[in-house]
Amino acid sequence: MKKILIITIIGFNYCVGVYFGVMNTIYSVLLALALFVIFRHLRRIKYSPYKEFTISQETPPVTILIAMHNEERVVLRSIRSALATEYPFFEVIIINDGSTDGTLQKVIDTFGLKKIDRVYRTFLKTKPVKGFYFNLETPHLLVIDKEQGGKADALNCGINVSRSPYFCSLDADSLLEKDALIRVMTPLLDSNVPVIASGGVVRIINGLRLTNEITIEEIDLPDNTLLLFQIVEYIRGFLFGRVGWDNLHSLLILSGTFSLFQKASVVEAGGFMVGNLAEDMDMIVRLHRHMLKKKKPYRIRFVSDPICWTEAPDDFKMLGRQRRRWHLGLIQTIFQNREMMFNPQFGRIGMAVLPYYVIFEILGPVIEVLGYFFVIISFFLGILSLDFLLLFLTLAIFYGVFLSTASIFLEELTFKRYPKWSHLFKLLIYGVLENFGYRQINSFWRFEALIQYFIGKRKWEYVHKKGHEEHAPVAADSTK
Amino acid sequence: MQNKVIIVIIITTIAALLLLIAALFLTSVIRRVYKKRKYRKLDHLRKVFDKKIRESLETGTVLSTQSEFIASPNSEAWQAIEGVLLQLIDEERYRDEAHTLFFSLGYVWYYEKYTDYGNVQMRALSVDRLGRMKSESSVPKLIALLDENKPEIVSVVVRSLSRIGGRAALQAIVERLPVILDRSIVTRKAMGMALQAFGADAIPYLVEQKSGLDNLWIISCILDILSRLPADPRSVRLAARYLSSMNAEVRSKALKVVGRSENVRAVHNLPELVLPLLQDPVWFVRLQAIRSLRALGYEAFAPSIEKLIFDENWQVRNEAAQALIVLGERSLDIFLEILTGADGYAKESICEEIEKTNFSGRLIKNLKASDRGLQEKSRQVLEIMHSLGFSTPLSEYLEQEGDETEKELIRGMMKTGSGA
Repeated sequence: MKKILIITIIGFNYCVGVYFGVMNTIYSVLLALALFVIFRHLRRIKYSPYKEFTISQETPPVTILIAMHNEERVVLRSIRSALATEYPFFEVIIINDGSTDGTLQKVIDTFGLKKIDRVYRTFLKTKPVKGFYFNLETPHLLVIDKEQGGKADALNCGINVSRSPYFCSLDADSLLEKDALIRVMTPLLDSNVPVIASGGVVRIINGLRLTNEITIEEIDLPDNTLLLFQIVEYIRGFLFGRVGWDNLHSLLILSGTFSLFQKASVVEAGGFMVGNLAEDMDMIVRLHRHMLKKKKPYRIRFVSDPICWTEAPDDFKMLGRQRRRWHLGLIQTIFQNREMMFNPQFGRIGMAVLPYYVIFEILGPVIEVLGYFFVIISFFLGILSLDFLLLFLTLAIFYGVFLSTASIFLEELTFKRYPKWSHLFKLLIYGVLENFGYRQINSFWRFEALIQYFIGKRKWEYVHKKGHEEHAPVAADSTK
Repeated sequence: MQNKVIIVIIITTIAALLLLIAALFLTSVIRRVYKKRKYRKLDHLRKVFDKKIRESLETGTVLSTQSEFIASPNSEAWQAIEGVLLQLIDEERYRDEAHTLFFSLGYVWYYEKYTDYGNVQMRALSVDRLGRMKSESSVPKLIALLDENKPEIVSVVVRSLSRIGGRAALQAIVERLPVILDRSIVTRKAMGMALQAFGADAIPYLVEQKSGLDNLWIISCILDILSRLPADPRSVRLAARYLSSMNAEVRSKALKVVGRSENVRAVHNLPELVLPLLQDPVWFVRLQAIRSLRALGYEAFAPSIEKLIFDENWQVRNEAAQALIVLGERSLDIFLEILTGADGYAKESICEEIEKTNFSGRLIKNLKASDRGLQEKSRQVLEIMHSLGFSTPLSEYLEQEGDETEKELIRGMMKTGSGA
C-alpha cells in the first residue's frame, strides 16, 4: 500500500514538474512576443494616424454603453469622462439596470434629463424597459431605465437602442482617458481584415488624484497592500499576457470594463449571454466561434496604449468574490463552448487556446493546491529532500518575480504611468512580495470557484466597491 | 545521478533568472535616469532654439544665422530643432522659412536617405517626417514608394503625399488608387482620409479616373470618397451615371454623392433621377434615396415617402418618418392617414419622431392657431399620440406655466383619449 502511495506521489511530482515547465515556457514565449510587439508598437506610434482620425469623417460612429446598478457615488465620473472623450461621432447610452438607490435620479438631475416616449425594439431579447430619458441640450446622452437583468442584459438593451455600427462597453466605475476611444478604434480603421472587437488596457483608479472628477491631476500609488498587489497583477496581465496572445491572434479575453465591438457581429452571435458570470470572455469566445463557423475573415485585437482606469476591491472579502466570479465565468464559458475544443473547424482557438485555458487556467489552481499537499506528504515520507524542495520553491518564486519585473519593465518602456522613483521601487517590491501569500490566496479562491462550479453554486457574488451601496443583483445569478 | 542533473538544471535556471531580474531592474533604473536627463535637456534646447529661430525669422536674419542651427543627425540639438521647425511649419507665417530650413539643415536629405534603408518602421517614420516637413522636393521619391507592396509603407506614403499636396502627388495617388485598393494595401478609410486633405482639387482627378472602372468595388470607393469631398457638379454628373448601376453598393454611394442641397442645380431634374430609387429592391439604397431627397429639399416626394413608412425594413421606416417630420405641417394629412391606419409599427415610428424632434411642441402651439383646419388636425394627431402612450409632451406642458384655456383643452383631450 505504502509502495503504491509512494509511486503515485513520485508520479504526481514528475507531472507537476513537467506541468510547471510547460506553463512557464508558454509564459516565456508570451513575454518574448510582448517585448517584441511593444518595441515595434512604440516605433509605429510615432507615425500612427490616430490623431487625424479624431477629426476625420472616415471615423465611424461609436456608442459608449454604460450599464449601471446602484452606482450613485461613482456613475457621474464615468458618464462625464465618456462625454468628454475626443472622438468625432459618438453617443453615450446609460442603462440603469434596476438600481434601487438614487443612481437614476442623480443622473436625471445632473444632466437635466426629461422622460421621453420611445419605442423599444428588441433585436436581442431583454428585460422590459421602463423609460427613456433625454435632454436636447446634451443630444449625445440617452438614459434607459429598465428592469434588473444583470450586466449582460443591460448591455444587450443598449445594443438594441444604439444606432452606431460599433459600441464600446464601459464600466460604471471607470474613467476613460480622452484619447482612449480613438486609440482603441485605430486597429479597426487601419486593418484590411475586419476587426470585430478591440480592447485596451485597464488600470486601477485607486490612488489617482482627480480634478473635475475626470481629469487626472496626479497619479499616485494607493497605500493599501491588496491594491498594490493588484496593480502589479494588472500590469502583468495586460502588458504581457494580452499583448502576447494578440500577436498570436488568439485572444480569448478582452476586459468588459473597456472594449469595443462591431455591433453587427455581436448581434449575429446572439449578444451578451445573460447568466454568464464572465460576459466579456463569453462574448469573445462566441465571436470566435461564430466567425470561424461562418468561415469569415476577422480579427480580435488588443491595443496597449488606450487606457481606462477602474476601481478595484480593497479588502480580501470583496477581492475573493471578484476572483471566484472571474474563475467561475471562465469555467462556464469554456464549458458552454466545449464543442470548439479539439475541433479543427475552430483552428488554433479550438486546437490550442481553449485546451491551454482548461489545462493551465482552470486546472492550474487544482494542480497548485494538490502540489502543496503532495510536497508536504513527500517530504514526510522521505521521498523529497529538503534541499530539493527549497530549490524548487526558489525556482518558482524567482520565475514569478521575473515575470513581474519584466512586466514592470514593459510598463517603463511604454507609458510610465507611475512616474515617481518611489512608484518604481514599490511596484518592484510588491512584484516580489506577491509570491509570498497573495498568489497562493488567489489560487485558493480559484480552487474554491472550481468546487463551487461542480456543486452547482454558480451565483454572481456582488463586489461592493468603495462608495457603493450593496444590493445583490438577483437577476444576474447564473441559473444554469 | 538523475537527481543531480535536475538540481544542476534548477540551480542554473535560478541563476539565469536572478541575472535577468537584475538586468531588467538595472535597465529600468538606467533608462529612467537617461530619459529624465535627455528630456530635461531636450526641453531646455527646444526653448532655446524656439526663441532663437523665431527671433531670426522675425528679424529676417535666418539665412545668415542658420549655421547656428546645424547639428549632427539624431543628436539632442537635432531633435530639438526638428521639433521647433515642425511646430513652425504649421504656422502660416513661418511655413516657407521652416520649409527652407528643413532643407538647408539637412533634415530632408537625412530622412530621404532612410526611406530606402533600414527596417520598415524606420522607413515609415522617415516617410512620415517628410510629409510633416511638407517637402515638395521629396514627392518623386515618395511617389516611387507607392508601388511598394508593404501596406505599412504605402499607407504612410499616401498620408505624407496628402500632407505635402500638389498636382503630382494627387495624380500619382489617384492613378494608383484602383491597384492599391484592389490589393488591400491601404484601407479605403485611410485612402479617403488622405484624399480629403486635397479637398476639391481631388475631384477632377477622381472624376476623370479611367482605370479600375470595370471593378464595381473601386467605383463604389471612388464615389464614397467623392461624397465626402466638397459638392461639385462634376461629381454629381459622374454619380448620376451610376444611379442605375447593377450593383446596389454603387447605387447607394452614387445617391450619397448626389444627395446634397448644393447639387440641386448641378444636373437637370436630379430629384426625378433619385425618385425611382425609393422603390429599389435593396433596403440601404431606399434608405439613401430618402436621405438624398431630403437633402435636395424636394417636397414633392412626400407622397412617395409615405409608402416607405410601411417598408419591410425598420431603418427605412424610421428614415421615412424623419423625412416627413422635416416637412412639418405639410405632412399633417399624411400623419393622420398613417395614425388612423392599422400598421402599429408605422404609427409608433411617426409618434416617436414627432416627440424626438420636438414637433409635438409645434402641434401644441397649433391648438391656438387661427387656421381651424390646422388646429383640428394638430389636435387629432396629439390625441392619437396620447392614446398610443406618447403623452409626455402633453403632461410636461401641463406642468409648465402657461395659458390656462389651452391647458384645459389639453386636459379634456387627455380625458377623452384612452391613454396607454
